[in-house]
Amino acid sequence: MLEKIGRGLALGAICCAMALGSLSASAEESATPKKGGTLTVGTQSDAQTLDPIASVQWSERQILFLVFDSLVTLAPDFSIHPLLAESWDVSPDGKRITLHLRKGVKFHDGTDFDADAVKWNFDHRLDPATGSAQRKQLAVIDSVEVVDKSTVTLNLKEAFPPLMAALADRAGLMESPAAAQKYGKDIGSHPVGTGPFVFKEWVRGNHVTVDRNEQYWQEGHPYLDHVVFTDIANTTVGLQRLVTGEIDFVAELQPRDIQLVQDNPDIKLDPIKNGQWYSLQWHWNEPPFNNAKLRQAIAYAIDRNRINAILWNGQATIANGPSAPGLWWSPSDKPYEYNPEKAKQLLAEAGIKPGTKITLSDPSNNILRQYDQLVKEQLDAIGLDVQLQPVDYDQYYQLTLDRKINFVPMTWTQRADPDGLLHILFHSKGTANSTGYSNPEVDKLLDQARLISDTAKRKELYDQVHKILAEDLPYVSIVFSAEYAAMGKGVQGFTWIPDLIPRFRDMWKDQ
Amino acid sequence: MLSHITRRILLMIPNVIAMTFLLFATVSSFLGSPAAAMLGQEASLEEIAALNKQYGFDRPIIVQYLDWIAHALRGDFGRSYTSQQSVADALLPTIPVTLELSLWAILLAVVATVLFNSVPFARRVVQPITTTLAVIGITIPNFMLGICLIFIFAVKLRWLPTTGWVPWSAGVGAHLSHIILPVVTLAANYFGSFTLVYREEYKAAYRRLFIKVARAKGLSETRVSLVHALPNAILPVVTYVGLSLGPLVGGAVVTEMVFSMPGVGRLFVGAIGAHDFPVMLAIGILVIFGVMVANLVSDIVYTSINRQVSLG
Repeated sequence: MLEKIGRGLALGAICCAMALGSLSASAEESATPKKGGTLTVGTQSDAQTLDPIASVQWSERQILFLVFDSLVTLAPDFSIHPLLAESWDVSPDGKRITLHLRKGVKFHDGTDFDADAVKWNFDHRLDPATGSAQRKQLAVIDSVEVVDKSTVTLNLKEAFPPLMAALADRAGLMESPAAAQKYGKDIGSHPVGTGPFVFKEWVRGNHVTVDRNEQYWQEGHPYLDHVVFTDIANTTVGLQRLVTGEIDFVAELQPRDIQLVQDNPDIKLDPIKNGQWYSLQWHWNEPPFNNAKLRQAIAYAIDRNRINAILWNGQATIANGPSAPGLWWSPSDKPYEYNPEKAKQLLAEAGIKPGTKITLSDPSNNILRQYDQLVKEQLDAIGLDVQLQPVDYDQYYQLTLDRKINFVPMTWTQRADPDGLLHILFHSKGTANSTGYSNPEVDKLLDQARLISDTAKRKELYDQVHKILAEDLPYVSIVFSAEYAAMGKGVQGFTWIPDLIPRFRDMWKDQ
Repeated sequence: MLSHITRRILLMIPNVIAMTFLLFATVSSFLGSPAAAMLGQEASLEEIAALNKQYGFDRPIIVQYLDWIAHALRGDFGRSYTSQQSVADALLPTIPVTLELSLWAILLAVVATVLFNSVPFARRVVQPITTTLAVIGITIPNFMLGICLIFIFAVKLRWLPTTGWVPWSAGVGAHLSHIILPVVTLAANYFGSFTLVYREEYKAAYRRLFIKVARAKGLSETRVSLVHALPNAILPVVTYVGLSLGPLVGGAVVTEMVFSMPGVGRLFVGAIGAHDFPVMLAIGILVIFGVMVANLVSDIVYTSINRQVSLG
């Protein structure tokens, strides 16, 4: 028997949208969308290519999500919804995923979007000669089988539910095979997808313009005539341009950035409070941090509310683990409470004498510097002597990965599937496991959870993982950061997704 | 003269080779292999190793360098690792932007220096202001000055657009209004240092005998200043302009970043961030060559102004 997941999810999405709508139905947002206009977005661009298959940079994605459609898409709780795939069936053993594609969709170059195009997109990404960074995310695919013009089956080497989340991101963006053939290596400057906006021009280092796709398959969409991504040097310049009305939207704002505009009646602010996960990590299996009591002492010694108040004006969310509140797999456990007395007691039990020196790496980045100083203040207060060791921000992640530095502040962005972060960080064979953490129980749970399609059952396993992580403490969780998007007051229809990439396809402007 | 110029041009070749090797070696040992940057934050070590092999990043640096220069000498600078554009496609459109910015900035700095410090009326009236501006120009870093100018002239007064760049084809007015603030930002530092150099020379020239002779002939003060003192005081500034072109490129990088101009500097910063060696090295060659040519030109100009000095 096959499960009709797509339809169930679509129903869920409608209920979810209704619930959200009733929560946030202010007068202006319930207005009907208006057609026309240009949305100008200020972005600190590091864009190198607009070929989704070659893309690795962050800022490329906000443009790619307009020119291209992905097979499926994400809601704010990271549940998965149909887009180019209208529905999908998963075989009982989880090793065959059949995608039912939307019919009558055309690429911007006039060629048909069909099962053959989907197969080409997967095969091309999986070909080692292409050198796509997404090959690893799709490596579980054994073969892609065209059933008929609008049906395609992915045969997997093993059951792997996180694949669907990957298909909502870059790995699922469908590029025109004919265009790839035509432009060859220059495809990155001539993107051709099926998305609501058609690529117009890119002056590198200056701006990217996309125009409304008059033939878009979704009736009445998109609303905007043009979206222009204009480069800004930094958020200060971005906010100044917003104030003068030269741009309509700027994101990636920290709470302290927004002081410039928070009393401005022409500008509205939209915060997201389950942003990046801020933590501290260490070499879990090496001295001094292989001492469980020391790790717990540090977890109790940190006053997360104080860090939140100073760095994020109290707008961030206290973290109790790597998974932010509001996602479908978020645990309900309580975070470590601030308890310096208990921390001192644990430190004594751990056999650590007052005044023991501990080195904390201090990456050259404003926020992390302040964060480190607050951590030092609080750990010094329980009798440790924290030495801050400067390290170049650009190199510190690599140094951490190479295990050349031990005690470091760390940040991670939320992934669309629990397996995304939990497996790479906490599985003993995880690709980003730089703590040396290894717990056979966690390995077993993570491996099992990968093989289950039912989200409720998966969540049970992840709940157990979160519980163990809170005891083992390979990382000490601190907060989920708050970030803001600021936009002109006439800009409507923006919704944050916790991967922090702004989506513009459903937005409109009140003229 | 001609033989001198030929010799100088020939000397550029070993210079370019030495400088690019230095650039190549430092960049690849400091930044490491581009593979990690190309694959993103979560790439596994195996994938990085595979890509290193595919692109040949695992070979010794000297071998990689020789390979690169062998292609470069044949005019093949390769393709950008990250954007997959050919280096010419990436680099050529950015050159006019930076060239225009730099030329305007140098021109503005020289003209402003000479005007404010030679015209007798200006000297009397605006001397304290000139000194203040010169000190501000030298002491305030480019990026700071740029942001301040944006705040004053674009956000508060709304006279000019904040940042961005518009080609000539979109209209002369639009083009010039976008380029004013970056030009002023970049020129400020040079205005400062040129003023200090020029003013001292000017004072020295003014004490000399021919000025007295000129005055004794009954020439007006303006004529004495502009015709007799100026040509004598300008020589060190000409040399200084030549020497400033290296730092000017640095200033252009910062200015282009602040004002989001699609110039060479911005491309360079992006290429460094992405460890994009082909683009970085091509820009390196371009800048080294540009500075050397500019120095040569400034020497030629110097000799044509001052007949006592000849190139030999």
